Amino acid sequence: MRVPLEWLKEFVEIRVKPERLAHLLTMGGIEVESVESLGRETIMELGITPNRGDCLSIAGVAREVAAVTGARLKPRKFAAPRGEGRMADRVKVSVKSRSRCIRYTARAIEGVKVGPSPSWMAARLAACGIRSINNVVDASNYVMLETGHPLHVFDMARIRGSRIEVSLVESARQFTTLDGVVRTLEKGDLAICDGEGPVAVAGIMGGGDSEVSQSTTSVLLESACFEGKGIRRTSRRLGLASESSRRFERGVDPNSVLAALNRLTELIVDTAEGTPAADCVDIYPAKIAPARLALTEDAVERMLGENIPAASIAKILTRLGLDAKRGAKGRISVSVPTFRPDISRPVDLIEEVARIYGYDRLEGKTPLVCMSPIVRPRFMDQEQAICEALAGAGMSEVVLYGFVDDRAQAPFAGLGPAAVKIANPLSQDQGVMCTSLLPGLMDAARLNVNRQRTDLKLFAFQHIYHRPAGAGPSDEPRSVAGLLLGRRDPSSWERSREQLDFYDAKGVVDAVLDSLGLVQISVYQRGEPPAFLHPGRFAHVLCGNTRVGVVGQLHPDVAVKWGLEHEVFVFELHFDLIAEKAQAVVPRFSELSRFPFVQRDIAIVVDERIPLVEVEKTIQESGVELLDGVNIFDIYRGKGLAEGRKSIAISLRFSREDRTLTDDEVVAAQQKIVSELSRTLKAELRE
Amino acid sequence: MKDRLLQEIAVLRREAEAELAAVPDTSAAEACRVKYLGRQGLVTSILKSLKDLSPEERPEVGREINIAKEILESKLADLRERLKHAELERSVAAQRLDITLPGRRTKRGKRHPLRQTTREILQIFTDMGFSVHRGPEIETDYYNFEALGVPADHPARDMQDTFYVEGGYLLRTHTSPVQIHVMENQRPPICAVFPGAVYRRDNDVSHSPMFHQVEGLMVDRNISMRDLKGVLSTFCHRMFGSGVGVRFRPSYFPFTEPSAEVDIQCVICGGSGCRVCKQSGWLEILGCGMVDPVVFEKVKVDTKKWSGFAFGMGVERIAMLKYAINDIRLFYENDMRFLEQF
Ligand SMILES: [Zn+2]
Repeated sequence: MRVPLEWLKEFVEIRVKPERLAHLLTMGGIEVESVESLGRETIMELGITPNRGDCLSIAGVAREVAAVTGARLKPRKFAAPRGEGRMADRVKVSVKSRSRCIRYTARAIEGVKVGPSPSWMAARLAACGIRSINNVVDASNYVMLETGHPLHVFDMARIRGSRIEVSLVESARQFTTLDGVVRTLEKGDLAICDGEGPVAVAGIMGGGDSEVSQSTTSVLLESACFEGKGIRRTSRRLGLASESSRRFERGVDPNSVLAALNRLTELIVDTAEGTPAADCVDIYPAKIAPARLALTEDAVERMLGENIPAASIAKILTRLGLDAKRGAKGRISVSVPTFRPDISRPVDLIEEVARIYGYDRLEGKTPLVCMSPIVRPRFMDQEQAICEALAGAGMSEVVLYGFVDDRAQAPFAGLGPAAVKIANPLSQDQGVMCTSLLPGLMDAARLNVNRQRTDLKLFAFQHIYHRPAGAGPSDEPRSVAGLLLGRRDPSSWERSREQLDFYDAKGVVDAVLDSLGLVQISVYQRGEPPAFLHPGRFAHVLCGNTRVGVVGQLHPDVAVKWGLEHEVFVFELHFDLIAEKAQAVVPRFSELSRFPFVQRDIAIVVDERIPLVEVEKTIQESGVELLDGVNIFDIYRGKGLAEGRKSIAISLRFSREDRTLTDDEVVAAQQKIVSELSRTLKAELRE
Repeated sequence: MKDRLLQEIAVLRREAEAELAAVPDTSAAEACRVKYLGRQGLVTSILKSLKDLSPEERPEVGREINIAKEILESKLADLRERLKHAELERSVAAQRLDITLPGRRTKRGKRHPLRQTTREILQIFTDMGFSVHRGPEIETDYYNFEALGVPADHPARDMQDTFYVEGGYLLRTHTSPVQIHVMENQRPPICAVFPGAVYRRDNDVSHSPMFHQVEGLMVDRNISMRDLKGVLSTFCHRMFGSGVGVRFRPSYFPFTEPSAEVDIQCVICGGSGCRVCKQSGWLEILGCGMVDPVVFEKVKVDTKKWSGFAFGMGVERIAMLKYAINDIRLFYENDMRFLEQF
């Protein structure tokens, strides 16, 4: 809302400088967003909150100015000039929907001369951001800005059948509004109709057919109070918000509808001549009375934490134009004028008192409360542990949008739950809620690669969204996912050429599992590969017997779709599943041996296809009690070995808790292990 | 015989000491040891000839030669120690590294600035005794609007343009619905904050279709606006420095009454006026107010017994001010050059 100070001064005395006034208004709840000078005019731009429809007018802002500065309002009375003839002889007005049209007033003026507006009026409208059209239309806009009442002017000659009827549309029909757009009115929309059909969408916009033009000589003025919610429904559905609908939605004062009509009549006669009707139509079947509220000094003190004497409270409310009377024992009875429909409860009065008293005058204090131990959401500690572990493993965190492109997500969908669709997305590429964090990570990777950043270690930790099988709310589990691409350690001076591979991704997953103490119960398994992963370079991650995620190289097909010509390694884990497992893992102490261990290194040659875990398992299960540890420390392929064979170097550690081992015992133990390897895995000892 | 031997010992001591003084390195020192103290050494041969002396003469000469031997041994030990040390010094001095080469480590990854900021905000409130709760992002109209005093067709819905999802649900436009969930599940007293992602149909330099908020709620007996001011001033001072100016000005939220907007003195210009604060010297940092009776009524909290305040802030907004970031979209692009700055 733009307010020229000179206009404001017609309604209230202003003795302070504009900057001071701006400060006082802002601290009183009417935010002054800027103060600008336009020639000799000073214009304040106000941000009006939706509860203060009354301040979408010069008169309303003037009341606020009076309240925050203590200045006097200048009461202005507008009376329609004397006229001729009765309205009943010219047009028959009726209101069919009384719940949607609270009050309807109208007056005709004949013999108007439509032409350019006087310069003072055009200038004021321009200062408020409204384009000048002609003296009649401008007058209606002028009065709207001044009083806050939206007004409409019809070309009387275009009103068919000398009838105006305010009624609900009964079935859908086309209607051309004065902006030239053909719109569909639907059942339940409120319309102003003449003898043949709609001439205006009530409270929103008039029709093109009955618009005032250069050739107009007689006009019908409308000033009304329409019910706000209905106006808002129609306005939203039509996608048509106007200065008028904005005010009706927020509520206009039914009791000053007629004053606005009188002011408009006066202004049109002043600027466009003409003779008004001697009387006016005023249909106001259920008069709205001021709200009566009771307030106590104690209630104010309880809410604000500070005692403000009843006398001061009453004084503040009076300054706001409310009628406040003090009773016994700090009681105040208040009558709230209908221009403040936002004040309907005692607590609304307390807010009025607080803002005019000044929020700054309330001194902050520490609450006196009953102490109780704080609670944190389930798994918050685990979340923190995982994120720290990931950062420690060199992974940088990204934050992804919750929505993704349905098509981009397709390869990652698999057989899991379906995605939640957004009914009104901003664009197709934000059309569904994500069911995996990998598409988002891929987007982030692509952006960085396109900006010359080709070594990446990224992770995301956030919600994914699953559509429920039936009705009911969606499931919002959390997921932790990572992406690795490029070199392992590009800033190292020794190893900067090494490329990342599957085992780096697996190592990061290990770090995650380790941060929750889950390494002992976790295994990596082959199985059916998800469509987006390389079938030879991936693994399912299991904790206990539960599949908790996957790790692997992205299928080259998928990588190429994102424009990534690189080997991309990814993982994604169900956070809630692994956090659940973490609860159960409590370490148990085992006694420390006081006797030295003996270590023996062996090298065996086995078939390439035998997984390492099999070798370890065979050794562990060989039945050698002295065995205290197994560590695979080298794998070799190539020269000296047959095709399809690999050599594995293993460190075996032996010990007893009760004594030092003898050489013979160690030799026997080692032999038993070697023969077990040879029996089950056809392993040969390499000398 | 005795005198000759004593004479020899004296000479031997003199010569040996002179020789030791001139020894250049550990190998020369070893040669010296062999020459005097070795099995065929001079001291040893004198010891051997003791048997030729009469028993009366033997103790005196024996004492002399033992003294000579001990002195020599101790001097040799000293000398060897000195030489060894000097040699180590020389070799250590030659072992020079380029200490400017980086140390070996796994370079730490970065936490996203939004996560860091959220954590900082939560830390301040948990330090003050606030619990932390979460709520769903896919919400019903009831929790997101209706229960918060925004019925259908209410003009306050304009403040938040909403994404709707299938099944009659919507993406929450603020974290305030968590207030309702918490009050439905827990009777007062309540003292908690609710972090999380929220969604609005907006996309430009200062609006992102998804962003993050931290909501807070305190309900107890005798909670007043002065308590609200106290708690939120403490927050602002901990977040932006104890010297920063804080002001509360009236505003409007459908679910609080009275409502307030909290401004801090502009962290960019210090309050003198700049582009970021639109020349006002103040920056809006959070919205708050006393819980509206309409909300208490929905969750059946008796307003005669309980009162409370609620507040909400944008994490992006706070991070942008804290780190002087000028475009909200940077948070969601995830350009490494951006992420690595925090
Ligand atoms: Zn500034």
